[in-house]
Amino acid sequence: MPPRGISAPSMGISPSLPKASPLVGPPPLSVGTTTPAVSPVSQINSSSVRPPPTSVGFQLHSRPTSYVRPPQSPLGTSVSSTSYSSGISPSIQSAHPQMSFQNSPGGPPTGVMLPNSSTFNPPVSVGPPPTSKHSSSSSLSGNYSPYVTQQQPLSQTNVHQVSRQFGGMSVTKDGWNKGWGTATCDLLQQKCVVPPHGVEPLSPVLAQEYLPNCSPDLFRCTLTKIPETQSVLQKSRMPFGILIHPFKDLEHLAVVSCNTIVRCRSCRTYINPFVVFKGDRRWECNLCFRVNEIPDEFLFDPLSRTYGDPSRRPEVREATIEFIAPQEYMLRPPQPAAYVYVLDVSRQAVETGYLKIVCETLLAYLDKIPGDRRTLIGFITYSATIQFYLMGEGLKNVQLIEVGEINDMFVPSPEDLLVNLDESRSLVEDLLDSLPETHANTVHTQTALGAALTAAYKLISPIGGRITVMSVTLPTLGPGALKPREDPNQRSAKDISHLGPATDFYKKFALDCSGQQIAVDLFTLNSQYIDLATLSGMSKFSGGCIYHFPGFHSERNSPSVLPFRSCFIRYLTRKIGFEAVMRIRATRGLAITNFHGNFFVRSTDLLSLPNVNPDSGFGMQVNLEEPLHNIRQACFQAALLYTSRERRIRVHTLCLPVTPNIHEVLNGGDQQAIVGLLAKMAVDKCLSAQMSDAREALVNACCDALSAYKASLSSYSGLPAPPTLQMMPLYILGLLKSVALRHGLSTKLDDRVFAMCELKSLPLCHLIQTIYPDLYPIHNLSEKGAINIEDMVVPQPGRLHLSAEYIDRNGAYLLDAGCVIYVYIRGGISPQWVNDVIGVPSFAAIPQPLYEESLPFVDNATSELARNFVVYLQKNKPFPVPVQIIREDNPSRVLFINYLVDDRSEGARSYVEFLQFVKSQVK
Amino acid sequence: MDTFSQSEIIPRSCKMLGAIAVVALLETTDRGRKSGRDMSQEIIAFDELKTDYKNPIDQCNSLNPLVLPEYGLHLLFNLLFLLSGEWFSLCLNLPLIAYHINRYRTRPVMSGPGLYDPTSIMNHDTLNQCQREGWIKLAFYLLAFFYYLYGIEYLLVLVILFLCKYFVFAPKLLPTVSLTK
Ligand SMILES: [Zn+2]
Repeated sequence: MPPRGISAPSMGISPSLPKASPLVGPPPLSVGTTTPAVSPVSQINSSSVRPPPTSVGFQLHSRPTSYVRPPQSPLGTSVSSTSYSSGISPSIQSAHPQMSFQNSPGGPPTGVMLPNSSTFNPPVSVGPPPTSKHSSSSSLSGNYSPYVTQQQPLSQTNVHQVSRQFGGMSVTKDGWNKGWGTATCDLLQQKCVVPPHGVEPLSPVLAQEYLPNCSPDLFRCTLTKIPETQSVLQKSRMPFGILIHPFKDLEHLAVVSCNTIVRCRSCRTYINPFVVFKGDRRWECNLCFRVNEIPDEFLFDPLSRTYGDPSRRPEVREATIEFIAPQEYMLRPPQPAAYVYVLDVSRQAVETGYLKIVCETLLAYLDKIPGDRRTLIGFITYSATIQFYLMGEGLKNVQLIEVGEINDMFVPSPEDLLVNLDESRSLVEDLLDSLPETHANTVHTQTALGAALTAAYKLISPIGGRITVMSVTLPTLGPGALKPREDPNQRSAKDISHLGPATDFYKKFALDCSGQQIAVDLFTLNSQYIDLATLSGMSKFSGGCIYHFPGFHSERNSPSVLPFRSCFIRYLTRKIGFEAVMRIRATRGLAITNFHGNFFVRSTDLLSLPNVNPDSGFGMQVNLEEPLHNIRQACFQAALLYTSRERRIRVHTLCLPVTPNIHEVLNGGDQQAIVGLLAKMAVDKCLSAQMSDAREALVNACCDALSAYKASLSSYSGLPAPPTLQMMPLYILGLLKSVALRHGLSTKLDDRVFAMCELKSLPLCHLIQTIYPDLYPIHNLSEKGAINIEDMVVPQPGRLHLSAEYIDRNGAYLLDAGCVIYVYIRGGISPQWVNDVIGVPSFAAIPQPLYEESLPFVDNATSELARNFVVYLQKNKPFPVPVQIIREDNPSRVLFINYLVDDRSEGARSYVEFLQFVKSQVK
Repeated sequence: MDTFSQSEIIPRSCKMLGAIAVVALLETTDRGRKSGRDMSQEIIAFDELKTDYKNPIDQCNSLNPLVLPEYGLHLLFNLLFLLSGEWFSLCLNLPLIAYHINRYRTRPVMSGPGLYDPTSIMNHDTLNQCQREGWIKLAFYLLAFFYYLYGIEYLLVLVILFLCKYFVFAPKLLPTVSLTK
């Protein structure tokens, strides 16, 4: 047994008394503090006095909004002058190349006008700014905003002139702007907006370029430049939020072990690269601006083993860092890894053959399950009754106990059910060997999932851990019984009903689990309706994950075996963090309003994640509650406290520049992050209102952002878009046609609900791939431009728009949709290519269907390039996905055709039509 | 005092009952601070959630049992208005009744009684909405209370007069009351 209660009683909390353990609360104050930090009570008093914020930031609205243009007066009003004049700043030219603005080639260079002139000294000397000289000096000068060097009082006529030039200059400036990659493009003119080598993740440009910022793969903000005030944010009409992938598998991660973790006394922020050192012994918190002391320990540099400069510490050199937590971060000793498997053994379930695959895989990967010598494991199977398996130490054979009292569940001898994997290894192996046969002849067709869950909860609740549920049939017995709700005639309707849960049993169960640090992961392998909308509640609120394998059958649908097996292997062996909590802190003035993902929100900034896994992402909406005047950079910090053998804290800090200039805000929009956040908001909207409202709201969000941009330009015909938002309409169109939100195409309710769960919880890079998959031509792969990864030459074919227009009839195309890869071969393909890559003599001989993890092995250069390319794509996924080869003359080509987002489809616009619609909405 | 006819007694006493009901509502308000019950407690509760003080599950568990009693009490004295033909007072309360019914109809899927769901209550919009709702209803109940109080003024005076006789200090109060009337 695990060391239950060995040191726990001394801490006043015994893990065997679940009611008494308040889990991982806010970390206690560090030992040795002389002055107490602000007590919770006084914090409450101070903030409860604060009036509730009136505006609620960006919302998905389904009613069309009238957009008010900001005043266009060229006279010296602050609004109109900010819209262009800060762009003239030479410092911006060097620090933010995409933002630069060049003076009219004809006119003399003009000086700089400050948006918030009141904070600056009276006019300084005027000078035509040379390019780089000023930037370095300006960014260092303390009193000045980093964007601004000098101020010049412009006479009214002067301003007028400049603005007129600015308006008329769009043509002459084009060439120059293109050089910097900042050209405003007219979406109606520019047909091709997909960059051939993918959209580069946008990282914020800080004034101090040397500071390490959090990688955009881990932490992104929808706006890479934070607006200074609420009014600028509202004018920009962009959603404001952050997307985070906190537990991603990292190749490089600095781990620090120290006695005291340096944190701000007042807001508990972890020290990070963006704090300001004040003298030798003090630092200013970058979130609440309190000045803190530096403890002696922090002055020690572990690398050079000397005392001195605190800026050499890894905490200050890395924006992502992991601490090994000292004692005070634990309310109980780190828990052992504990896993309970709840398996469906009804007749339909056994017939699919999934049980055999699960048992085989578990048996093969028993050694690779994360954990240590204390790891616990248990099994429960369920049909109309619940079966337990006694595997205690003293036993010679596995004993099966069947319990029929499903309405009043009790667990017989729990200590023999959840056993130490090391000590009972042979019994566990015996069980996994015999389990499929034991249930081979079952006659039960109904299942009591609710009772099985209750039993699993009782089993694992003293410790916490993970419950893995495999479900094939709709639970119809006992607590949590469900009825089929889906109406097959409504599958393609405009508004879908039954997207929400039918009962709150599973949600309540998840909340109970969350309280005991248990996460519930759900695998559904159904071919009939299983009511995922209701069942998913058990994972959504307990920090679990959901996997859906529709139509799984090991014999009748053999292609479904491979993805299930590789997903399950990844699931078993990936990293896992137990009893986790994540807290998001933000610079004073910014407040997190809504959270998206699988977890339970325990307080305004604290997420309870009983388990955290490396494949899930989270999103948060942010609101500007107070203006960020005189703040140059805003920061977000996510701290993830988790247990994996020991207690650890992973801290990510993202820093973003603040700007008062709406033009900069609009140009700094991160289209991928924006679409990722909008997708999550749209799913919420589907549940709170109707699906058609959500679809409309998405279109409006797109129109709004482009309207705001157009209004910020003085004059522009067509549909202008900043370079960082060029793909937004395309992504939105992809979302509207995605499995989750589409209408017109018949979509099973479970598939739709699963797609919605994915939108809510996938990390951004995978999310974008499901919204707008990558299409590559692969009939002419060459080594030109290829990259070399681990001695493997990987060709880099350019991405194409998802349109039949780009699909040549003599070509072969590869579509990577995240969860599946399709290779689509057209009839006119050269037999040589077919022979080289597929290994068959002609197009007609290509076998159908053919699923592989990679392309077939044929020994020649063309085949090697193609195979390398597929391997390269698979490497970027959490687990290898099936590769399906589709011949043009095969009916399954519909699978591929459905992904052609740009083309008109059943009940949905084509890209060009969509753009024209957006144009008509953009005033 | 002559105007105080028999026919007015029934509606007025109904108003009084209404007032008493509101008093009861407000009364629990004061106690609520300690025991965790009712209207202004709700506001405090949402504020506590905002300021990280309480776990949303506990908070919802303490609030949900109060929702139906509050609605019931409100319905009860509106029933009294209906019986006594106090159409104006009834009309004042009808929107709130309609709001209550709609609010309860569109509540999240829950097996128990109540409105508040711990998984969605922490959403900024939901929390703000609940808090605003709490304030507005508190203001409405208070205003309604004063209106009912005004309605039963005569009755109240009568009651005071009646009570005054039994108090030692009453004779001093008596002339002032009759003067104001
Ligand atoms: Zn601080």
